[in-house]
Order: sequence, then C-alpha cells, then structure tokens
Amino acid sequence: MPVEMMKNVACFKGVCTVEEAEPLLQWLQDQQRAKVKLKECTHLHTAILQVLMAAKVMVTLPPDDPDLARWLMPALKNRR
Amino acid sequence: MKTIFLVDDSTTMLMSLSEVLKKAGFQVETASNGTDALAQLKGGLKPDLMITDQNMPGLTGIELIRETRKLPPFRFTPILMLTTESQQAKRQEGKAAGATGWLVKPVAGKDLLAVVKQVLPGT
Amino acid sequence: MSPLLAQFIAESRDQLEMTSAGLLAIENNPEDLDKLNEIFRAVHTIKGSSGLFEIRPVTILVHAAEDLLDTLRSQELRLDRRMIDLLLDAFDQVNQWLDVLERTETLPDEFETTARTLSAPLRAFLGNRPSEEAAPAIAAPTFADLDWLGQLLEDDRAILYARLAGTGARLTLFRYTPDAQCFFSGEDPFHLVRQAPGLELLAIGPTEPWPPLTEMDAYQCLLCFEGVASGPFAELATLFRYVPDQIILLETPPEVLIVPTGRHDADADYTGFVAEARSLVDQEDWDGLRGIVDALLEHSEPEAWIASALRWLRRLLDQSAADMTLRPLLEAMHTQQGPDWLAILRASAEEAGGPTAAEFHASTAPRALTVVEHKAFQHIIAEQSRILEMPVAPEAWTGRLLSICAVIGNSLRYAGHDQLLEELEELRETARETRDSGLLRGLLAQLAEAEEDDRAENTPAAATAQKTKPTEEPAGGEKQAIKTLKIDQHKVDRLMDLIGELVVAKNSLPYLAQRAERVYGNRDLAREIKEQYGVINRIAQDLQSAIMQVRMMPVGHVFQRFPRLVRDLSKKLDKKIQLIVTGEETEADKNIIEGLADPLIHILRNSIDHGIEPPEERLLLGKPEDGSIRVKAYQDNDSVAIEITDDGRGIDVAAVRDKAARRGLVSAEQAETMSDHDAIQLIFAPGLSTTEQVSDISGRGVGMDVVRTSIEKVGGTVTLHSQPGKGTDLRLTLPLSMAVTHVMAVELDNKPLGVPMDLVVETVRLPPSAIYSIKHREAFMLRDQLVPLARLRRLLNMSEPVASDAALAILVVRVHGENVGIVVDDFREGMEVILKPMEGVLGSLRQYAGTALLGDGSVMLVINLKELI
Repeated sequence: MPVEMMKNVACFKGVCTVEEAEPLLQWLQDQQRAKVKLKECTHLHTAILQVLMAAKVMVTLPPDDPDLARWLMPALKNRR
Repeated sequence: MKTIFLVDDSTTMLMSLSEVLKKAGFQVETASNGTDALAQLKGGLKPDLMITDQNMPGLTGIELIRETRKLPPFRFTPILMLTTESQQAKRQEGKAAGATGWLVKPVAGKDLLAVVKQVLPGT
Repeated sequence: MSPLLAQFIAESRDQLEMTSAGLLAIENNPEDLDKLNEIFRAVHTIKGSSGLFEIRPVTILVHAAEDLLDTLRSQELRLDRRMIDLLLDAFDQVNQWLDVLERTETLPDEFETTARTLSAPLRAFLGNRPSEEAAPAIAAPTFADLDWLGQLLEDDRAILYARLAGTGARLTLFRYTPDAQCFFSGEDPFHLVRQAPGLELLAIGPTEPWPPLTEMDAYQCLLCFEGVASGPFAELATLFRYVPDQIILLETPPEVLIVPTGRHDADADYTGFVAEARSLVDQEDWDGLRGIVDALLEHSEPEAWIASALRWLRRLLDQSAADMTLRPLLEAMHTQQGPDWLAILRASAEEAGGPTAAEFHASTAPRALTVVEHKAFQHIIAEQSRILEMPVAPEAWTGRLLSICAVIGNSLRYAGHDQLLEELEELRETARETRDSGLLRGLLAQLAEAEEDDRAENTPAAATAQKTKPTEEPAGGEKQAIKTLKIDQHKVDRLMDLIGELVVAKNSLPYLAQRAERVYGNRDLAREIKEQYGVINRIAQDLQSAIMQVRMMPVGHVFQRFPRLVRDLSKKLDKKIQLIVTGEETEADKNIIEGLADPLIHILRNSIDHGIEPPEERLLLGKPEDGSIRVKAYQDNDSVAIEITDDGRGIDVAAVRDKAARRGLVSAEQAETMSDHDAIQLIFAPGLSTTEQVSDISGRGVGMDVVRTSIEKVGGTVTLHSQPGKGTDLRLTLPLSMAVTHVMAVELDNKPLGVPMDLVVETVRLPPSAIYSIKHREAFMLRDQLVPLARLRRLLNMSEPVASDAALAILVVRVHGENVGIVVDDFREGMEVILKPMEGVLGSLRQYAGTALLGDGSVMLVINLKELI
C-alpha cells in the first residue's frame, strides 16, 4: 500500500493512486493533528492532493523527488 | 510492471500496438472484441490502462467504455479510444462515455508511448 | 518479411474476401444493413491498418471505398449496381497490390496515380458532402484578465522574467479547471499539469471554499491549476487536447509577468512621480530614473502595491529593458491598477495588421479555369511547394504547414477540386505527426502536372477510362498462391479421418498377397502386391505425418497464461515465486494441447497455494526467499513430456495416509504399511484434498483426480514424486497425436475386440490349474508375483464357455499402476486404428473407449479397461 496510515501519521510511498483518496479522507476526518510524510512519494493523484489541501495537514517530510516537491509544497503550505 | 489491455478486432492492429508496448516494458493483454474484453475484466483482469478500438463487431468501443465504467474496479481506470481522423464527433461521444482520451490511427510508436505516459502516472 | 506485414496481408485478404462476398449479397438484397455494416467495418479495418505501412495507394483507394460505404450505410445514398462494380474493381486492385506487397514488401509510387483514378469515380458519388463528422466547434475559451498572475510569488516571476526578457522567447499561460467528475474518466489533472513542457510557475487552488472535511467528497474534483510554461505552445495544446473545454491557453511575451501586487494605499498620489519618471524616460536618462525609483522605494512599505511596482521598475532598469515595457508600468502607477497586458497585447496585434488573409470562396460545382486562372493556380501551388521546402525554425514548422495547407485548400476549392480536400487534410495530419512533408510535396507536384494533363487532353473522361483499368502485373511475375489459409478445423478432422481409413485399408494388402499365394498359387502376383503395398504404405505414412503437422501447435500456447497466474496468485498469497518456463516451442496435436490447459493450471495452483512456503518460512528453513516453479516441455520419442517441479514443502505423506484411511480409500493397515511413494499416489484418488482448509485458490473440490482423468482422456499418463521439505515433481506424458491408436486385438465370442496397446504388458498362456482361487477372487503367479485375474466375459456380462483343460489366453495389462491378468478367448494381432469415440446413446457406455473401422470394412469395439476394472 503506497499510503500507510498509522496513529496520527500517514506515510506516502511511490505513486499514490486515486483509490486511496477515500480511505485517506476518512482517516483525516478522525484526526485532530494529522501529519504526513511524503519523503518517498513520487506522485500523488489529484484526489489525494485536494484531500490533503482541504485537511490542512502538516507535512513533516517533504518529497525527495525535487519536481514533485516544487509543485506540491507551495500548495500545501499556503494553508495553515 | 504495468498492464495494458488492448481491444481491437484487427489482429494486425493488436500486433503492432502490443509490439511497441511490450518493448517499452509493459505487460500486454488483448481481446478481439468488446464482449470478450468485458468478460476478461469481469473475470479478474485488472489493467492499469485499457485501449479500445471504436469500430468493432458486437459492442462498439464507446459501448465497451460505458459498460466498463459501470464496473466498480474500473471507475478510475484510464481508457483510450482508437479512432480515425474522420471520427471527430466520436471522440467527444467517447469522452462523454468515460474515455480519458483518444489515439488517431495509424498510431506511431512514439505517439502511443507519449500518450500512455501522459495518462499513466509512474511510467 | 516482418511478421506484422505478413499478418496485415493475411488479415486484409480475409477482409477483402468477406467484402466481395458481402457486396454480391447486398446486390441482391440492398436492404441488408447488417451486411453493409459488416462490409464497412472490414474496409475500415484495412484502412486503419494500412496506415502502419508505407502503402499509400492502398490507403487512398480503401479510404475512398470506406467513405462511399459510410454514406450507404447511413442511407444518405442508395446503392446501385454501378457502385458495386466500382467497389469490386477497387478491391480487386487492392488484392493485386497485396500480392505485389507480399513479393516485394513495398508498393511502387506510381500506384498512387492508379489509386487516385480508381478513387475518383467512387468519390464522385459523394459529391460535395462535407468531410464526414466534423467535431462540433467549441469556442476556445479566453482569459478575461491576467490579474491571476499576481498570485504567483513576485520573486519567482522576477527570476523567470530575468531569464527570458530580451531573448524573444514566448510563454504560455494556462488555466486548467478540470471537470468535477473527471476522476471517473480516468483523469489525473495534477499528473497532466506536471507534464507540461517547461512548466515554470504553478498555483493550485480550490474553485470554491473548502467544504468541512466531514462533508467533502474526495472524488469530486475541486481544484484549479493556473500556471506559466516556457515550452512550445503547440506541445501544451497537444498535452491538453483531451480537455479542450476545461483549458485556457494563451501565448504571450514574458512581459505579462510584470504584475505589481500588494496592499493598495488609497490616499497616496503618485502623479508627480509618474510625470517626472516619464520625462526621464523621454530623455533616456536611466540613471536619473533609477535615482528617483530608489528614493521612493526607500520610503514605501515593502508590502505596499507601490513598492512592488517600484521593484519591477528597478528590475526593468537593471535589465535595460525597452521603454515599451517601462511606460505601461508607469501608467499603471497612476491608478495602482494593472498594467492590463491583455489589452496592450491586443492593441499591438491590431497595429501589426492581423493575419486576415483574403479567402477564396468555395464554389459548389467543379468549374473550368480560364487560362489566366489556371496559371495563377499553378503559380500558387508551385509557390507553396517552394515555401514548404525552405528551412524554418522547428517551433514554427507546424504553423507554417497549417497556413500552407489552408492556402492550397482554398485554391483547390476555387479550382473545383473539392474531392482532393480530404486527401489534403490527411496528408497535412500525416506531415504534422511525422514532421515530414514529403508526401504533401508529392501531392503538390502531381497537382501541377494533373492540371496540365487535363488541359492538354481536354477529354478527362477518356483519360480516366484509360487509367481506371487495374494495373496489370508486370509480365513474367506469376501470381503467387496465397500463403496462409484459414481452415475450418472440421475439414482438417475429416481429412484426418480419411487418412486414418487409408492407413487401415492399406493393411489389407498383405492379406491379399497371402491369399494370392496360398489360395491362387500365384507367387509373382503376391510379390507385386507386396511391392505396391510398400509404395502405398510409404505414401500413407507421409500423408499422415503431413496432416498431423497441420494440427500441431506449440505447447507455449497454453504456457502463455502461466506468468500472469503465478504473478496474481503469489501476490494474493504474499509469496515470492519465480516461474521458469522452458521448451515452449515443443509441438503437439491441437486437441491434446487444448486438453492440457485446465489440468496444468490446476497443478500450478496447487504448487503456488500448497507447495511453495511463505517467504519468512522459507528463510527459516534456509531456503532462498523466492520459491521456484519450473515448467519444462520436451519431446520424448513418440510423446511429449511436461514436467512441473517446485521447491516447496512437498506433499505431507502422513496427512495423505491419515486422510485416505479416514475416507476409507484404503484400510488403516494398508495406510500404515504402504511405501511413501505409493501413499503419495493416493492424492490422485477421488475426493482427497490434502490441506485441511479449503482455500479459495485451489480448493473447491476439484482434486488431483480430475487432473489425472483429463490427462488420461487424451491418452497421457501422470507420475508424481515428492520429497518432504524439498518439493514436488509432476511429470505428464502425452501422445504427440491422438489420431492413430495402437491396439491389441483379442478375440471374444469369435469377434475381435480392441485393447489399447499402451496398457498391454505381455501375453501369456497358462493351464487352468495355474489359477488360484482366493475367496471369490482369482489370481496367478507371474515371475514370483501374485497377479489378480479377471475374466473379460464376466466383465462384459457374457456367458462363460464350458470349462476345459485348454490353456487360457491371458492378457497382462497395467491399470491404475497395477498389473492385472485378463482372460480372453484368444489373441489376435496388434494394429493401428483410428479410434472414434462412441456417440449419441452409446456415448454413455463407459466401458467402451470407442470404435474402429477395420481393413475388411467391419467395425471393432475398443474397450476401456480403466473403467472395466
């Protein structure tokens, strides 16, 4: 599973697909202080992106993939 | 390895497309008509991308796309439609039925791979 | 020849054959729309595939036929006899070209002329019908303003501008608002945007305020992507071609990035500053301007709009930008708004004179051109042809191509050559895709010539008639026979039956020779018959192996499904398995191969599910983490062997013994004492599944007994070896062909009866006294082994002969791995027969395997010993 959801941290790996947006959303609905680690993520589907943006999650580790980090991080940081 | 499902009633077309895709490292599955394609999808085939011809005996490409989208495992699967230059209206109809995009026959190898890359993240 | 071309030729011939037959059928029944659709599809397929090869003549001609058929099936036109004649001519021509193609793998360019002349009358029916389904025009959406660029960080924009200013580079601005339902069309807008060539800046935001998380629908797309890319406009347009209604694209100079942003100060008035700056610009006093900009900047809040504007002025000065850029920015400072780059761009475009080139008007009917017009036409064509050959910057190539084609299109319309428009369009698209305008130039050259021809001869009809004759083959080049035939399997089966009968019939010749000698005393005749027999025998054997070759196919046909199966199942079970397949090319009879598929898949599933251990367990056992399954096929004399070997845990012998005893398949004592090897064979017994838990992979009641039954059905055998902890090894042996069966004939009640030869171990004759009776069972000793005895008459419910002292004829056969003696009336000879399964009502008689026709015309029953005993 490219998105691994633990107690209050979700870990993203590789290409995270649209199918994972819904479980992620449900997980986030139950979390007060959700954190995500994107270090090993190379792409995440638009559906996941918008869920992360709407939930205003905190990214503890940005993606190693420089291209993804460049476009993704501003979108996730804009909201506090 | 990503799996691409080709549906076309022309063996020549299936051969030429699968040759290109296999060389590029994809696993290729094929069906020669829409009914067979649906049966394979219902039988557990889970492609990462489906490419279907429009003009086929039995189910047309657009009908196949419509039926495929009704199957829950394939509601988000990218689907490309093979059309000819003259079938521009069919492309819109295909989009409306749930196609992700289209390819215009004859499909050059590099164009095919470019579009596959475009619709398949991680390739 | 490449396999692809060979396939195309074979497939197209099939399609053409179907087309021709279909055309003849609808000639008599024009209302048969299904037939018409079928023909259309066949022609459409040929056209589609022909584009894969350099065979323009085929494409052109088939395309014309396709268009005509399309109007017929949509009932815009009514079918008439002349259309059918023309279509048949066209397909005959294509067939001839396929022959040429098969011989030389290419078609000479001259054929294109023939293709055009044959297409013309087909296209003539279409008149000026608009070129098929035109896409409903979607008005290209445009930006209302460019203020949104302000949301991109000023520093980022400044860096990009500094890089591009003065280089002549252009930017493409985009706004992509995906459809809310787009995920259900397999789209991933973020992925698409990430692929934008030269993506420089990007802002991602919601189209409306975020809903509370508890009310959010993850699968409704709420995002909008706005950005700037430096890649070629055409490539961006291509990237977003599937979402034309959701994308706004605009190509601009980099100056649009100059958008001051920040807090507005309503009270401030910068009129004085602007006036002074303007005059400094007029005097080109850049140092002076820099001075006042710096001074004002020092007194401004950095977050203020005016500070941002001043910083941009400063940057422009540092880059010694032209005053054309400075002035709009100064104007903007008046109102603290803008600059409105969109309006500025529009104004400068109008000034330069928009490219609204005069258009020719389309004429609806073909018309003759005057001499002057004709010259002008030729001039235009020649000129466009010349431009096409001139070198051009790569990014401008497509634009130039499109404008050239527009000019040519207009000229063609003016000259009344509407029928060529579609071809032009096609060539344009080809050129666009391949970035090679060679074919298009070819058309232009021909256009110039064709125009001359028409005028010189002034009898276009005669010229057409002359050219319409299908191109004859060059003399001497004999038409080659079609190389691939598709044959109904039943026809091959029928042939096979006949050959089988021939093999059997020829066997009567030796008897005839014997009779000639013994009954008629003619030794010479007997010898001649024997000689002839030798000749016929050889031919019959060659014939038999030739037809068997037709039915042979590689076992790889069945193996193809394995990698997928192993991959899917091992994934499901979290096991790591390597599949090694060898000998895929080994051939066997089609029916046998087809009968193999299910048993083999069952065996594989067993290995994956029960055999191979999970990776952790394997590591603990000191085995490599990856389990391996080897499938190996090879030819072994007259049979094909397939071995399936895994390195898993092997079969649990104790479990098999236990279960066999509990199910009553063997007695508890037997279960104890039998050897491990024998015990393992019990898994072939019906109703024995070794794992307690029926898993959804290989459980479901279908056991190894089914595997054995289906292998035996095609005349094969299964052997099994297993070593606990080391793995299992299954070996299937199958006949190469099912056509001819060797049987041993025995006599029963004066009639011959066949027993499959592969079961026969030996024949013995024993006096009745050598038979022991043990309880109700009989047995006899054969080389120190007690062999059970059965009497065929009893097995078949026939009356017993009167007991006598005559020696008993006993056929020793091996059934279910055990020798059994069978008492028959007498032995006859071994023979080759064609076994035909029992059909109809007799099909349920399981004690008979089938019937065989004998040389003398009588029918012999072949018994199925495995059922009988």
